[in-house]
Amino acid sequence: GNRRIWRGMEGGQREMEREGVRGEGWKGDRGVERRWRGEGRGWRRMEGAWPVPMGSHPTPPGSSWTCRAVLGDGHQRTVRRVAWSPCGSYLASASFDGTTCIWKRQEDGFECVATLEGHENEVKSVAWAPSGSLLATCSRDKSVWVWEVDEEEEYECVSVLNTHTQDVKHVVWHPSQELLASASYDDTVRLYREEEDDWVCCATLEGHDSTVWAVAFDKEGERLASVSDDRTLRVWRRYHPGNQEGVACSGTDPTWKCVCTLSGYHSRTIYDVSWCHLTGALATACGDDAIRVFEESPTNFPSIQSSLSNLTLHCSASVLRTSVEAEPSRRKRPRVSFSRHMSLMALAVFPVSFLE
Amino acid sequence: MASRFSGVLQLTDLDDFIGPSQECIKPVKVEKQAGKAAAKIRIEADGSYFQIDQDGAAQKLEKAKITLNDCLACSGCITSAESVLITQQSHEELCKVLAGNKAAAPSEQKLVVVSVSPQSRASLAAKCKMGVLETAKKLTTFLKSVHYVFDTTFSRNFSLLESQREFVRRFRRQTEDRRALPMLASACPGWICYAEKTHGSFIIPYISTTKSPQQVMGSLVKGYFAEQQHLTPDQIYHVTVMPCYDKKLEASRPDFFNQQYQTRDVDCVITTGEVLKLLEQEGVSLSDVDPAPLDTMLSSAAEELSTHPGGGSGGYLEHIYRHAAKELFGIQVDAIEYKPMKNKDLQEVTLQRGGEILLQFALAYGFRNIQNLVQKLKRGKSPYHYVEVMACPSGCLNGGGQIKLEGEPKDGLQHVERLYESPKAEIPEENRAVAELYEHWLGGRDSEKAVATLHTEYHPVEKANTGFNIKW
Repeated sequence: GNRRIWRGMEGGQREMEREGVRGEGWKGDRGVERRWRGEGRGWRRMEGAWPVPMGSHPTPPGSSWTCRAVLGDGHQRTVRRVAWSPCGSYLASASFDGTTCIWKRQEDGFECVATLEGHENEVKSVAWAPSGSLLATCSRDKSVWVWEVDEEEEYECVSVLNTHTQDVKHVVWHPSQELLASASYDDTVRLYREEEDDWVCCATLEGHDSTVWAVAFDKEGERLASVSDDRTLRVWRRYHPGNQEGVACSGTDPTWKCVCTLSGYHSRTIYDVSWCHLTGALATACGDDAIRVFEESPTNFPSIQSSLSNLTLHCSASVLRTSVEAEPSRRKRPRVSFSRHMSLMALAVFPVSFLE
Repeated sequence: MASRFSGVLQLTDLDDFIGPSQECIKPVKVEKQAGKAAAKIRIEADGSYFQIDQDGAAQKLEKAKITLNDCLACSGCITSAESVLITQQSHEELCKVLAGNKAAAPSEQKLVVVSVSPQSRASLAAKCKMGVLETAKKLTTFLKSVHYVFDTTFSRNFSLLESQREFVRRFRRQTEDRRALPMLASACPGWICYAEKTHGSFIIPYISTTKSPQQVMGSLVKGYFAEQQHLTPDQIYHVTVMPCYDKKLEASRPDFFNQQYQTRDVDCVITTGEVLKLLEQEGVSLSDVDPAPLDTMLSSAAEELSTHPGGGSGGYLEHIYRHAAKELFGIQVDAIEYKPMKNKDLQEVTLQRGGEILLQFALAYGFRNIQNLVQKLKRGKSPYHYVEVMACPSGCLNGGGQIKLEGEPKDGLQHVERLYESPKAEIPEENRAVAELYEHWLGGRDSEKAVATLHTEYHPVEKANTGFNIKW
């Protein structure tokens, strides 16, 4: 598998295409460029300065992308997921060859600075914790691993969590806390936190009837969305000990309860979900070739959920709002032909929220 | 079905969803014959298969067999199925053997010997709320249809002595042999199986060749003891009581199978928990049983138990450390100071003199620490000379076959630790029975027989990478 790094190109700039050579020809176009950083599977805009060689001309805002690097020698099998570190200097790649490579951005490309080995078979996902010093990986070997990196860029395994009973598909960190979530073929979502010198599973979210393919936290991290092969999207809310809703908690760990189950919208497996931290909208990627965006209904809408939930994403179409005109033109609608991954970048570039 | 093997062993690709045809190392071999391919197969009432040729001639087909030994070598299907192992080696099997033995003709009867590990004894003692000596004596009575009950602390003396000497030899040749150090402990089968399957020929040179106490006992019982009793090895049925299930796999290794007499050095391994089940089945409460005098391997009776200091996993680090300090640097070590590292299952011990590090040893228990150790070794960044590697967090006293006690697990474990350490500490070099065996039965410490009896080999396991096993 190859990874390609694309850089937003300002229109009018000639394309610099680098193929087959790792990390060659990394040149700056301008002083400031827009970088799109992964958050789970969504993207958010970041600005940063890259070295600018003398004599390059300024170009208008991006309308095309160019391949900046092809990292072709790191893995022996499918590269299943990539993730940028919070600081942006590192890229992690998880592969079916059982390894996770850590690539460090250099002036002229990327260098593989570490290979995390240990999983017995295909690694399905990798994610960086917000602090940047922890990484999580998960695999078909049913385990979730937590890794730590020190000041000398040495990676060590901190914990091997064997609580899932089947293939683990996705791992995602809480936006601000060192809390980890994993989704599995065993139909559950599990949450993990550190306890003394090890990591423990502090919650198991049961409810889906089939493989959970992905999870996403909302901006505050008090809610979690999960999507599944059972064609539903579920939203879970965290209740802390002593909460006013009267939800029981065992010990000091919060309880997560499912406050919304969205069914009937997706006619096939839902493979991915992303929760926009800017607008609060939820987007799903589905095997029926469509991307759907869901937003919260205004609170005065009649609720069929219990009073515990204040999240109204109902199972009836009339509740869902759309901010799009009745007949969005084909040109503006980004239809994705389905690989399992949500190309939310497309959604951000074309800010059209639309409804199936 | 939750696997009770150590976490390290569980992670070695034992996936219940791999079909037998994909990863099984025993693919069906077809003898290609010239001529037409089509043949009919007829299944007889007794389940045997006959191949019918075109001219009607019937040829009996051999059954393809998969044994437990094959499964040790394979990452495929059957190893995950506990049922196979449970039926082959369990307290039920032991009961069957004992019953069968009673009913058999005198010439067919076997001498049944049970070797109990000190960790299992401590666990039972904690459960039955007794001291270890009392537990040992009462266990001897309970297993009355068994002829002898021994203690693997005795065979552990050999493991410790051999490990000590092996380390000193490796240390002295480290300049010529880049893979002499670090020496890695060999007593834990969970670690060994994982190492053979996952790191194979890279890691094997570092592993100590010394046999575990269980297997040394196997050699002693089926070798020395058999001779003393004027029996052949196959006339003895040797059972061991161990704190984990991984020991069952160790006993099944082909290296520990006596080809000449077609018998294993250890025939059956039962866990501490299985002994408890036996007690419950018989409706016996161990504390109510009368104590019996302890059996000893040699006729010079020792009516008391002994232990080896250095933790509940055998004390390898401490024994090797003290011996090496003396032999290599002339330093007499008294108290050993452990430095805890990033977690409680990783601890370092350093011998320094005048600011110079002479020896750097470590304890690495549990999968994550084993992972990090091997990865560091692969990158050439391991600072250690010796590492006592164990698959189970907190060591053997916390093995998967130990009895779960009531209350907080931490308190229970501490209680078992105290019981384990309660007997008097013995020094392997000073055990006369051990010295006698070396001299008279083994023909000297460095004799060929000593090496063959007390050391073993490891074999890398090749993984079949068929590509069938991609699962999205």
